[in-house]
Amino acid sequence: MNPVATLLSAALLSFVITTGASGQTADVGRALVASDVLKLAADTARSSGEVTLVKQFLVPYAGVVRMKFELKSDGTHTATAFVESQIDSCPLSQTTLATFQSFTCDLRVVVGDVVQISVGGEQDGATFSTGVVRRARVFFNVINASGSGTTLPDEPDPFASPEAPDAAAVDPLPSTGGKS
Amino acid sequence: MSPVLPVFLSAAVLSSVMASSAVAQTADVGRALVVSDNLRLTMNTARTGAGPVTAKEFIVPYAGRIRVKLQVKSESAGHTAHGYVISQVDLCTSTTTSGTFESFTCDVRVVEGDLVKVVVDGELVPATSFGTVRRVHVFYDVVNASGLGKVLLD
Repeated sequence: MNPVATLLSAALLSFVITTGASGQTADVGRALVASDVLKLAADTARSSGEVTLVKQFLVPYAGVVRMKFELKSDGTHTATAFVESQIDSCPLSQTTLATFQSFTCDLRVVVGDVVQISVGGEQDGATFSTGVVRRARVFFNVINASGSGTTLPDEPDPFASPEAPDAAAVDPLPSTGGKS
Repeated sequence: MSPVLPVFLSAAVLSSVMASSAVAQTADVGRALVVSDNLRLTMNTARTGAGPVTAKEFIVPYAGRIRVKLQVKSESAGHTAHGYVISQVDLCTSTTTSGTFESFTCDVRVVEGDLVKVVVDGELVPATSFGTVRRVHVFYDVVNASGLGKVLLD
């Protein structure tokens, strides 16, 4: 057989096989990782006394995004901002200062997630002080997904009863050495 | 050395180049749902409840927006009946006091693999009345995802 024909035939066959396999495994989708690359910005200053939704972002893939925003109060009361996705939330962001303070948080999200920022002041008698949020920004990079899951930190439950010491894990029914 | 070996190696290299090119072309940014009038899912059975009660559930394949059409009526005309369409990230409410079925349309945002619920509810005060929901139809098109995020509220 002509070597050139053999080469092309072998290459074609290999290509077909490889392409078929790639069709099953080539593209595992996209994911987000926290970065310092600005993707979305909602800069308008929004204020509220009672806790109110003031910012919303739609993210395109699952993963982790970095949230940055500025928060201020009236100088005496506490202003609080809540940042949350469907599967995660940031630690409470609070300040009593009347000048804007910067906050940053990495937040886990699902595909198509809506990330929300709510802000509120502090109840003082029958009224509320005002919290103000501005410059809410979302930072992330889009990468190829790993296609596999991830074990998140396995923290011990602080309210669980103390575990029995390892010594108690000794087999309660030790072998009798074959005696009956 | 076997005369077949150089041919085999050359074929492998050539195939690798071709396959790499093909993979680069097939890589995509995923899929998304957009509202349309193309019927995808149908749940016609009438379900009655008060309290509220989950009457219908369905799963969507990708993130995006879908259109849900449903019919709602009150079992006690004059009392309020609600049909709620609830996804993980959105909510749409359809309310009527009519004793005959009224048609409603909701566009709701969903996440990928979302479990969307249609919940029916009546009134508990001053007396328990029931709502009924039927003909829940789900419409969407599958498109290539934009791969971008979006500011929904500034």
